[in-house]
Amino acid sequence: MAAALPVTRKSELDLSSKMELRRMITNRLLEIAERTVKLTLQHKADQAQAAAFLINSSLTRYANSQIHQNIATKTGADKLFADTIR
Amino acid sequence: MSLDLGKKGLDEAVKAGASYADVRIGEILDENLTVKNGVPEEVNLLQTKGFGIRVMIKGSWGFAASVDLTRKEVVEISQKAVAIARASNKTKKKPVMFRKATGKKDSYFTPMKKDPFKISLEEKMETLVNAERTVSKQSPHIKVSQAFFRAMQEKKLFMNTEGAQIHQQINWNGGGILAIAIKNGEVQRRSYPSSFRGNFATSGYESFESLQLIEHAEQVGKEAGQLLKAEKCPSTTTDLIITGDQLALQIHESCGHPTELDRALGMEADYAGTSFLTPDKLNKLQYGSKLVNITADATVQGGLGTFGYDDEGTTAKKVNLVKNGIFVGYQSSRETAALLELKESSGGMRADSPLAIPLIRMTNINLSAGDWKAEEIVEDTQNGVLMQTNRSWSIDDRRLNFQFGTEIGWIIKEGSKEKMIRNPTYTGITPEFWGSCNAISKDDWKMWGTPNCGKGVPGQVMYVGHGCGTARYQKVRVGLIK
Repeated sequence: MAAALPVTRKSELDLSSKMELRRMITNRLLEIAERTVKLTLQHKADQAQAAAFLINSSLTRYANSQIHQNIATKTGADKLFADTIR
Repeated sequence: MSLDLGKKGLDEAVKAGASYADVRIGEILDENLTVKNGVPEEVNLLQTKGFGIRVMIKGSWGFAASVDLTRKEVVEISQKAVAIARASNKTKKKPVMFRKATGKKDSYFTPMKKDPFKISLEEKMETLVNAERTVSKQSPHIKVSQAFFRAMQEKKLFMNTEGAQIHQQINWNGGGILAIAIKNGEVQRRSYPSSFRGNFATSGYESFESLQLIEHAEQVGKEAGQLLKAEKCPSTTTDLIITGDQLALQIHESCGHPTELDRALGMEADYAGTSFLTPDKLNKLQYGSKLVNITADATVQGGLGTFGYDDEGTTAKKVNLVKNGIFVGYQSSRETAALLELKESSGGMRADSPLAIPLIRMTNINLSAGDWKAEEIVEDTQNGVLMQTNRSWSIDDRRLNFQFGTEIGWIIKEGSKEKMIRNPTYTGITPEFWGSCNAISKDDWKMWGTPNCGKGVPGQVMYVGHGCGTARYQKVRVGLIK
């Protein structure tokens, strides 16, 4: 799981800080993916593929002219696919 | 599950001004295995973790969630949920009221003998490979043969500012087999024990074993081949007998969805529309014949919608939806129950992960058993059609006008199955259809699991159950309309 990322309010960030944050997140996700592939290969898999992602999403739904659902979700995952041919 | 993180989330929400808050922390394991045409096509284990916080500020809801289970993140997400609730407040017409929850400090675990996640992958795959191989051998026209297994384990902690602290572990699993036969452009399929990857139950691995996929594989393969040569379903109006594996979906679409109170109140229309069962019809509308009794029952053993508490802390319960044919109840939440001045929630608020907000979802929507034996219903029918195993469904967005297709059917003449028919379909209007129900069985009543019920935006996929046997309906239009 993508975890322990730095948390800062968006409104407080200038452009260079935003770019720096994006770089840190990308590096962290890359690190997770690389570690996953390495671990899998250590377990005698012939091929391994990993994908890591972090998504911030927000959604507001109206029903009967008022806000019915108002939500924010931070989802992240590293998916692992391994093929073993022995 | 961390009580400490949950408590931190609630404390932060209250500190930020919430009058009510609940937190759900959860971890889900989901294993999917598929063998197709002799090859393992899918060997997949997914793990999801995270937490969600729902808060109330001045009568408006806010919800935020994250996969990052740390104290720092819990604080940030609590504050975000509060900020969202404050924003919701700007369009508020009336403050949200909600009924009391019955949840307290408690725990619930699905009863099981064998943990499916402790059974070796080799053992599970061996069953699937053998079942799939047996299916494929039954006809030279079988072009696709498949066998499926799925197991899910959901561990969750619910806490709220009313003092609830509920640990649950829900386990369900099951599987099935499928044959697709093709000849001269005609495509026919047979499934066991039900279509769309099989049947599922809250239970241990013993429920998958009880399906006996290998023992049923021969019949599934043979019937797929036989269907290629069968006559088409006639276009006529006749008595219709539906077996449980189709009846489950009939109940789901024409009673389950329209009795969801958020749909009836116009608060939710995604995936399945609103509902013809509007509140003015409650306790008045003749929904079905006097034989028809339908309940929402989260307590029935083995049901895919069976649990200890729903996702807003209401104790699992059984409520009447249709009693002696009259529409008498809704599936509700704490909020919608208050809106309709019902005494309490039906206990149907469920989320498909800790990252999703709970919605009103089906638990187990069951058609109560009647007095008949399934065989007696056939023997009692002079002219009719028997249909089995769902193949397609379509229903309008108020849940009134529907059409279903099944994998296989039989013409019934003078009390016995005369011949097999292919591409059977039937159509009807919900209250007319249920109003024509004149026989319901008891001997083959069982729970059917539907693991793929979609609702909401962002879309959530929930596992729900339907208990039923076989039932007969009079003067139903079957076949293509001429």
